[in-house]
Amino acid sequence: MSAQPAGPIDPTRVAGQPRVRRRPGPSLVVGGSIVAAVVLMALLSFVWTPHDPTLVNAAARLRDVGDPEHWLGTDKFGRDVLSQVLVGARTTLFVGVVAVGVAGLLGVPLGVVAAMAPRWVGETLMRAMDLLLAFPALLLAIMFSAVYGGSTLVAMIAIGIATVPSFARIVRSGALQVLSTEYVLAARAAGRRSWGIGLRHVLPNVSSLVIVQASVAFAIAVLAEAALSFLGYGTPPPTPSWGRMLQESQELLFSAPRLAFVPGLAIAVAVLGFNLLGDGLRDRYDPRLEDRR
Amino acid sequence: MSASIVVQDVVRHYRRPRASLLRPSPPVEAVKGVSFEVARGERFGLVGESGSGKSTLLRLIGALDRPTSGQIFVEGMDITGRRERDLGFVRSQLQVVFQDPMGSLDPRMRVRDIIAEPLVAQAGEGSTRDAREARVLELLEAVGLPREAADRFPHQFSGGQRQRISIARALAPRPTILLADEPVSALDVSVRAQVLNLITEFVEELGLTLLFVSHDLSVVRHTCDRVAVMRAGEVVELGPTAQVYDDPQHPYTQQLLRAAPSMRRALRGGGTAELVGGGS
Repeated sequence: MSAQPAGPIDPTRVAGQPRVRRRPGPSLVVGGSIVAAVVLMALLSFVWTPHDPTLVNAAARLRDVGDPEHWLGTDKFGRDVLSQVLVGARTTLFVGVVAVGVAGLLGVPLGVVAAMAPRWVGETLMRAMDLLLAFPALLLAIMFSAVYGGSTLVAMIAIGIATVPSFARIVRSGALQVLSTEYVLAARAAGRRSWGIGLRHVLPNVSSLVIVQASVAFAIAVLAEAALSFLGYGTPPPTPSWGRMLQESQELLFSAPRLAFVPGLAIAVAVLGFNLLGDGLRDRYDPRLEDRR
Repeated sequence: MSASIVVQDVVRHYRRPRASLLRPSPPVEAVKGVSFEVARGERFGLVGESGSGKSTLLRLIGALDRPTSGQIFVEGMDITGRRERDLGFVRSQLQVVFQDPMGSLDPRMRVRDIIAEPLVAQAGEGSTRDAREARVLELLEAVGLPREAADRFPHQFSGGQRQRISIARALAPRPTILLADEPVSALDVSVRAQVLNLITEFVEELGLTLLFVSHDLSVVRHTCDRVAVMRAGEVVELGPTAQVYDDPQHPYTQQLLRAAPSMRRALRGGGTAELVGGGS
């Protein structure tokens, strides 16, 4: 039993061999570079910083940017700003990973279940998500800090929990779309049960949505940590954090604005980087754009 | 000859969202009281215009949807009112080829995994990775695709090739019944005949029972032994294909046949208006 050959496979789209890839878009390149730079800063800080970031040095207080010994100057205690920025990148990444991890691990399964479970279960779950969404993330984090004590981890778990609804909603709407397709119908006809469909069809097809949402949530978490540290509920001293550097700079805002400018710029650039990365990833991996390649 | 598919008085209503506070919306009656039998090894056609309920009926027979009332038997087993986990029998006996050659293949899966999906999902004893791989390659060859196709993704294929992948997937678990939901209507005319011939060849060689749904009268005539004409959820005429086509009894069938474009009328110089207006 054999059929007549079905004609050549489109030679411009050959898998296995080096695939003809589109050049990555500018936002992916720029965003990816910024994120890579933040990661490199964090890694570098483990092996080398110009000075001990927490070393108080009364002799070198309030050096200006461009000082031969302290390139980005020193704060009012004589601590090296560049070293603090480098070590602060660790805090920033830690914060993002924890918050996005919590949000994704809870939100993605919730979204899939809400889409696949009987209607009333899904509706109940989503109304619960709406309830959580109505609660400001920072307020939740402050409450958690009040109850469990202020630490970066506690604050970020709180931010993560507050971000669960956005993951659950996006995943649910994506999953509903996937569930209405003919390939899910075909999978059922092939004998797949709900679990198999959820794992083999729904999750892979919403993964690009999750990646995009994760990079955006990462940016939000970084901002939230900065805000919390600024308010004194986030990373406790002496661990360097961009948000706390910002807070400590405020009394000297007029005499030494550079102390606010440096961590502020770091936060802004990092957040921009994660947002751009999210945009770029969406352009590249959103299945709905796939045909336009 | 025993019946492969028995449809008894099947009704399927859909609820519409409420439009008024005072009374519920009337339900959509997609299929209203349809009965017929398909003999084992028979090629049975369901024709009708869009919205006539033919695709709904196909989903009901494929146990992908539940009838509001009535019963459906597949190879003697009542499939109505069963839970998904008790439908293994239907899943192994009956497979479906869908209409949309893009939408019916998961864009994130390699062709190998798509074709092997029924085998994985229904994996019993003796289903090893090697056995499945061998089956996938065998099927690829049978539908006229190269072995390398196994490593590719659906978007790397043309519509006709994708439909061949769909057919390979449907044949993977060695079913006895094949349901085809407009399998060629989304394809270019030039590849329609190829895919259609592929289906009929398999049906013949493997002795399958075929339920073929289409709005295209010429395709059904080419493919089927018997045909049922559906309109607004009901079967208005049922009989051997030649008889229904040459001597239609029901006015709707006559209208449908007159509306179908024919080469003779096109050559005679009949314009679109005449072809469309043929039923008045």
